[in-house]
Amino acid sequence: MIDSLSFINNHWFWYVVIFAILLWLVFAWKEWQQPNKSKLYLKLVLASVALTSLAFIVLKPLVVSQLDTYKMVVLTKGYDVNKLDSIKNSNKKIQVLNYEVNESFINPNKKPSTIYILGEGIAPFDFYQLDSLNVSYLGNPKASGIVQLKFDQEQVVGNTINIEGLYANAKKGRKIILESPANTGLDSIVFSTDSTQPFKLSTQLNVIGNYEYHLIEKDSLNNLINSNPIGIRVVPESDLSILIINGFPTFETKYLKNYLAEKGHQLTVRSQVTRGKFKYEYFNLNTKTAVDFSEKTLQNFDLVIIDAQSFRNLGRNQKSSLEKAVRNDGLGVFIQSNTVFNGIVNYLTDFNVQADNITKINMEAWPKIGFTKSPLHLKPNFTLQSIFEVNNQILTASKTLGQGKIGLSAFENTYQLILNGNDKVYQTLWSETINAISKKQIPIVHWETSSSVIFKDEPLKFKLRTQIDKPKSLSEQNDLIPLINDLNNSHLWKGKTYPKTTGWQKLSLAQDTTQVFRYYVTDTTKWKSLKSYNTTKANKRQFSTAKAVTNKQFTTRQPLSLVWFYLVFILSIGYLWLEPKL
Amino acid sequence: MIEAKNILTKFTQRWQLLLYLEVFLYALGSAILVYFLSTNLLFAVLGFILISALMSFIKKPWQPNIKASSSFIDNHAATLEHSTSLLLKPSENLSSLAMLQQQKIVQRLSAEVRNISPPNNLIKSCIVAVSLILIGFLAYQFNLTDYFTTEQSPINKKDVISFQPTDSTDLQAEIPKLLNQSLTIYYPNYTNLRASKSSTMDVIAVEGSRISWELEFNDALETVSIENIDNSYAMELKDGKYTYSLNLTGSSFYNFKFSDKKGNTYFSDLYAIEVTKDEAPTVDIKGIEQFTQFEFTDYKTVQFNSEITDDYGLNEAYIIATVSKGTGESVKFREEQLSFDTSLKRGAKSQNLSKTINLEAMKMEPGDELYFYVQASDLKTPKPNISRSETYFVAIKDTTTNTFGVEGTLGVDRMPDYFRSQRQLIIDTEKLIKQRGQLSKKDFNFTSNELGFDQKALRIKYGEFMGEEQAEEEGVITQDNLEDFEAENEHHGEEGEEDLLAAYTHDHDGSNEHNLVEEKKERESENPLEAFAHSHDDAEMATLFEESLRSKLLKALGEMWDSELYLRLYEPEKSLPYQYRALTLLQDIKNSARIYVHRIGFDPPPIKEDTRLSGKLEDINSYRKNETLENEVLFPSIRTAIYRIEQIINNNSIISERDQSLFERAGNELAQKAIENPGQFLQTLQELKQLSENKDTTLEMLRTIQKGLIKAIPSSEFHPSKSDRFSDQINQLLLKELEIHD
Repeated sequence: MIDSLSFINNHWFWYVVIFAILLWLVFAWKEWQQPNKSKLYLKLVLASVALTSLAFIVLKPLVVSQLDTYKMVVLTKGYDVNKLDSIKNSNKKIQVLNYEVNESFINPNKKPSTIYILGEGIAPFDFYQLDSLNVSYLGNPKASGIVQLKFDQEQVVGNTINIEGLYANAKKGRKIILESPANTGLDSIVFSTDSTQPFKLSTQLNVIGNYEYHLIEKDSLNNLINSNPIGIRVVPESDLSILIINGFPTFETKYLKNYLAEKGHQLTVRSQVTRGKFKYEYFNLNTKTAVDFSEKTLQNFDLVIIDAQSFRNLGRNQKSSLEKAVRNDGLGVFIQSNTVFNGIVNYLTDFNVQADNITKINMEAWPKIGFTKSPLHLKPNFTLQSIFEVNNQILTASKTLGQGKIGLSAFENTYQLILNGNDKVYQTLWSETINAISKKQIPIVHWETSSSVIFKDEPLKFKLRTQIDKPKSLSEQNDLIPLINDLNNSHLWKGKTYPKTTGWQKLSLAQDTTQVFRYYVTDTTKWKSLKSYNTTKANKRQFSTAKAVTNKQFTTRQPLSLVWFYLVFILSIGYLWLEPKL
Repeated sequence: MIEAKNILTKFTQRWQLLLYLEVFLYALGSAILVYFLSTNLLFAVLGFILISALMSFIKKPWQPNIKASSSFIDNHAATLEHSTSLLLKPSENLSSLAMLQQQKIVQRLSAEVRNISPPNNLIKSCIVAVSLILIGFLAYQFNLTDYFTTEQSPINKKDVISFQPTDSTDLQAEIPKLLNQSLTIYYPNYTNLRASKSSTMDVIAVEGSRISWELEFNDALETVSIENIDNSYAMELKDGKYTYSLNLTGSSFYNFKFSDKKGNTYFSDLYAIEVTKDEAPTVDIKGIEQFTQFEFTDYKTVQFNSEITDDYGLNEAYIIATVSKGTGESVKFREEQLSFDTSLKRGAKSQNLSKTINLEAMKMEPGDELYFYVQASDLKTPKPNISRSETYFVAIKDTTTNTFGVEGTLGVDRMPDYFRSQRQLIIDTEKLIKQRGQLSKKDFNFTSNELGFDQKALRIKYGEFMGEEQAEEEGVITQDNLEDFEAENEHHGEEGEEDLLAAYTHDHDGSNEHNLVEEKKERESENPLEAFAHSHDDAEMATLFEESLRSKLLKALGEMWDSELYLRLYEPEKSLPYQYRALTLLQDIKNSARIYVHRIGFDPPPIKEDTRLSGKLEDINSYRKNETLENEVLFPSIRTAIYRIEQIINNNSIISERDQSLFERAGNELAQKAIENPGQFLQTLQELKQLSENKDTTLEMLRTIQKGLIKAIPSSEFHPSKSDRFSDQINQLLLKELEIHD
């Protein structure tokens, strides 16, 4: 009861109480002086009643009262009319509301006891309106179209972009076409059955720039159903600095060296001629660094390709500086296997290999091309990261050592691929290996967003990781976007912005305006099925059906009517006034 | 009376009218035919006038007069009793009878004249006219008329050159209008193609053609020029038309550009010139195997057909035949040019020619081979294309091949076919000895004598090398004095063994075996000039072999002598040691005459033994090589242009001067590619050209240009590249933890 009592002028409480008591004491003392003490106690009680009433009048008490309860149905896009009807049947008085994005729809003073949501659900950024309300999500619309999409927005020129997704409830004969900015079809898929199917489209990116590609949906009669844009950013490749160490010249190295040098990478090759004498080759380098395996020189390289023999023959100091370079600077080391890769290389890290007596294999990606390999493969291990596998046997893999990686491959004589005219396969094989192992550049700022499609006028949540102290991010219009630092990770910052126009936009860092994050903003009319699917998913998560639907009563504190206090006061004061007269 | 005369006059007029109508019908029919064929009104009118004049002269429609009418009516109406001429005469001059007759005729005439129609071929002329029109119509309908209408063809709307001002913003005046455009291709004479004239500005013509442009404008212009990728040619003004002609050398692009009097310049779309090559003739030989062989007894003729085709006409075709005689070093070739049995029609595009070659007529003998191929040339000038067929072989089998071993090293085959070597003689002699018991004495002796003869022949052959035609040396008998010697021998034998010997020998031993030459009974004395001549025939002076060889050969000959002696005496055992000795000597001679060719190959420098394998490395140096290889990017401007267009489209930006120069550079890059493949990139090139000259453009055009440019870029490859990865303390901690628990 006490809990339920509170006052509007709560802050005066103690003053009022003390004043009332003092007043009562004065009254009591005055009455005590009176000769007629017959009704003293009655008078004292009445005085206290009158004073209490007076105090209440000043403090204005509030009492908890129960509110009227009502239920509500929120209709969102794609709701099921049957469901609405059955709800209406069971609750005649239920209130029906059509949801509009970004509009407030709950009266905070008259909150419904239960809210049913039908259809795809309300936008995640409107969830706050339903906080602490009893919400039941009943919608589960049958999605149709592209409901999931995954691709890397930023790609290096020459790379193949893979756009993966899930198409819900595909109709037979329906097509998805990936179109270039100039509206030429690049890749397509035709669904052969009516079902929900994953799809994968890919294309090679040839030209640097920020582009708008399209995913086109067409039915079996080639009528356009949907055209949704995706932004793809193609960036120039950046050169690597590679050191190749060979105990003796091999064809493998010769071809690898030619390939890398022709692509503009900075290459230092040291092959041993005889004891203490070496042949040094420098490609695309202006300054020739000595190959002494000191920590300082190794800092200049992104990758060291070394044959197993030379690797073993490294001196103690050289090994330790190599290890330091790998651990601290993230240098990559690729160990070339020589004919038979005998034993385990267990400097730096240990790879477990298993003999398998297979020397010729075909890979799934190129079924017609034969590869030669050492008769062994790598044993899978928790820390082993596979780069190439065939039939679940790891052929090329890397292991992390500190910041860097050590790579090993069972492939042998890959230069034969070039001799047989399979240049592209050779290039892919080596590019993937080198990309996986070589040193990663640590960016000043690393930006990330969680969503693959960003919509106009809808919140874009982004994270940035940086070593910079107190970074400040700027929007396209150079407005400051406030950032929140992560509680546990001091390098992680979170922000939220609302893109104002469609197309390519940027976020930049106030401290270093060269650090720019570019993202593609789509109009809200696009990607409907994807959006609806994501909304449904978020609604399901938010208003998980496991929560029991109870008829929660809502109460409110309302000021008591002061009339009664006045009445009690007048009556008690009136008696006290009249009694001496009588 | 007057009335009757009127009837006759009317009849005459009707007659004339019908004839005129006939002429008109003929003329009209022909005129319409001409119009259909030429689709030219002028020709039709000319044709009409011409045919009218011609037919008028034939039909002479003005000829019939009133007299002719009256006589015609007389002839065709018996009731008028040949009296209509009376009507023409004034009645005053007539006799009363005549007047009576006149009266009578007048009445009949009006009735009769209705039944008589003037002579005419109106139906025939109608049929002719209708059929002419029909022919014309059909010809027009089935496009046979094209053949007649090369001269003037209306400009196809699609082909009209559209000119655009380079700067559309300050355009005050109207664009001068193009009235007429034509392009004439004069094919090279040899192609026999008529010059073709068209309004299409894209040119596809054979190499060496001359093309000429003709443009006519409604307004006077300052300059009109044709722009090539790198050149600009001003067009000449001739009779109000701008013309230019060019000899085609290679494929390229061009566009027109003109500037009017106000200084505004306009340019046209880009057009392609595609030059096709005159292909060389193709020659196929049929009806014969690539390699044919005849037996000596066969009927030695080869027959084949040759199919020769060319795209513009053949000039000539002939067979090049080579006969090879002999083998090895003594092979001889004889080349002949043969013509086909059927002659080639010059200028024909495809010909099937046949030829029968009689090997006997080619003077071929067994062992000879004939190689032939057909060569054809086309009419191309100045240098005709020549092509030839594959080579075919015809051989006559040689059944008598010489396999000769002994003298292989001497280079020249001077041995007779029946020659037996010393080794063979030894083998035969040994065989004879073995068979001694089995053979009858007669046979044995006979064989032995034969071997003796062979031994003699061998000796004489070797004697030739010695030049001992007249061997004077003691005990040496040569071919020439053989007869004397044998005669002598026979003489000796006469005493006891004459019959015996005669029984076992038949006269092989004489060189005059078959009595071909009358035997010299007497030998003339020696040549008196002998003393003055340098004679190689003298064994002593022969310079064929060096001294030691000669003595060796002499010795061998001596051994042969002895061997022969014993063979002739039927004692082969005794002859064997001599034969062996002769063989050894001959072997020696042969070996000494053998020539050794020095082998060509790597001559290693002499190894210095003192430094070899010493393990010293002072002279070995580390080697340093420095090279910079550019990662060459193909079509950089096209790539930049693609992105620039994307930016222009997305940002709605205006095309700047810089963009225009970028598009021009991209256009130049694209042109290189377009020359190889004009069909694919011409459109883009045109649009790019427009974009680089004119700032006004539409979004769709930018998209199509971008599309075309993307198409032109070859697909790039996947290459290693540096990538980003953020790393912070938490990452590092995690990695450390992982490593510990690995």
